[in-house]
Amino acid sequence: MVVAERLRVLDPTSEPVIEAGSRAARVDTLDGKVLGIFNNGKLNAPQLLEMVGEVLSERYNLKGIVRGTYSSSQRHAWSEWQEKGASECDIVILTHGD
Amino acid sequence: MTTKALQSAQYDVDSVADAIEFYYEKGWTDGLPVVPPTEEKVLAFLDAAGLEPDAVVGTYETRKRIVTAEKVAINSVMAGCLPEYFPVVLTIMEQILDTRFNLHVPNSTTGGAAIGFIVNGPIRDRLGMNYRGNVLGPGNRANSTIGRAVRLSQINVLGSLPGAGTEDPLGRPVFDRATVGQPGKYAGYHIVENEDDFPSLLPVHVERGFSREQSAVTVFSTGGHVQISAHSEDSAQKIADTVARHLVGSGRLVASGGFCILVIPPENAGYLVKDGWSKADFRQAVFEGTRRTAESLAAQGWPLRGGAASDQTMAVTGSPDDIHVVLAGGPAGGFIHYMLPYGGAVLTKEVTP
Repeated sequence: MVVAERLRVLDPTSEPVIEAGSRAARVDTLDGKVLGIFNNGKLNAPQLLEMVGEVLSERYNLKGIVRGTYSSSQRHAWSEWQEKGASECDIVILTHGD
Repeated sequence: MTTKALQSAQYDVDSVADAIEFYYEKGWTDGLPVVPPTEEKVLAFLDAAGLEPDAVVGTYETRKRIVTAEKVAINSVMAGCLPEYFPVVLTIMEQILDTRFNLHVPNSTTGGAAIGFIVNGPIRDRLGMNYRGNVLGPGNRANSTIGRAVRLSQINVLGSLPGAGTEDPLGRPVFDRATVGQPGKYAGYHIVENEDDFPSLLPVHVERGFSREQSAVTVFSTGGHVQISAHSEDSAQKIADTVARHLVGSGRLVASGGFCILVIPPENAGYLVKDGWSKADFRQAVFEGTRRTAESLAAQGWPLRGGAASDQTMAVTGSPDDIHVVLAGGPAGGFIHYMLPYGGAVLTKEVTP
């Protein structure tokens, strides 16, 4: 007869290390603001963002809309976002994922 | 010798069989049984690498993970590795955590990318790794378990829990939502180069700045592979031409960037040597053979991405230097394998100790 041997095993997982952070400052209105819409090149993303832009243009007196594209599979430095015109924007809406 | 205590939570189980089921219940496996990671085994791995448990292997900013040697060791035990494999696992982990590798792509993409790695240098024989028949397949412990250790670490340490369509039964976030996935996500694309039979063809790590006496691992992210039959091609040029045609047919030509991994078996490598070609000659011929204008690709029905101009010249990679030629496989069969790139950089690092 074989006697099973008890054993002590270890947890292989790790948890995220969440550092204290803060949200970006909110804008109180979109009136007079520049809206950025940046699509990640996925199917229907530009059309969706254009629709969002139209709705917001109807609701608010936007100063302008900046349009751009980006790859959501790459991490982008702020300088790259600046090249895409993000620094001209007061608020940016983008698509992400598939 | 490790001096610090392990920090991971511990669980008592009645038997090895119970432990295997316990890891299933916890959702800590890749779907296959795992070796129960006991403290004794994990400490042996840390000792093999000369690391304390809390040594930081790297960080994964996107998921806010700090990867410690202890956690990678636990997952390596689970994968079935031996302690002496651990430095190779660590070298792979260090590189995929390098921001240039862009780990978030293979960790989360719907495209189902796998981690690939090429092992070079004396460590291949020290670990008894296979670089001949079935090099990409089953049968060799080191080949099979090193990549599995990386995958288990992706699941358990880096938060890349696989799933799609169904949520995790334990309520954890599912971050790996690959549409179909691929078998390379179990044990990785484990390539070990045959450096012995064709000495005139420089090993990958030597081409990338290391000496033959150094051991090194090269990592890449891949969407899968294509098998290219090149049995009747009896010259280096004919082989390059056949490979180029297949690469063009893959529909992945680019104007810049990218990379390409080609695994060349002995039957084909022999023609390179016979014709006096170097690996550089071969990659140049393959590169030239894939060059097409965007207009010609469009005429063949390929959808052009990124708004390429019609006279834009494209090829399998932006530069011949990004075609990596690896010699491996059994003596019979002209089966060349092309690993499709999936974002990120190809990186090489020496294995120590």
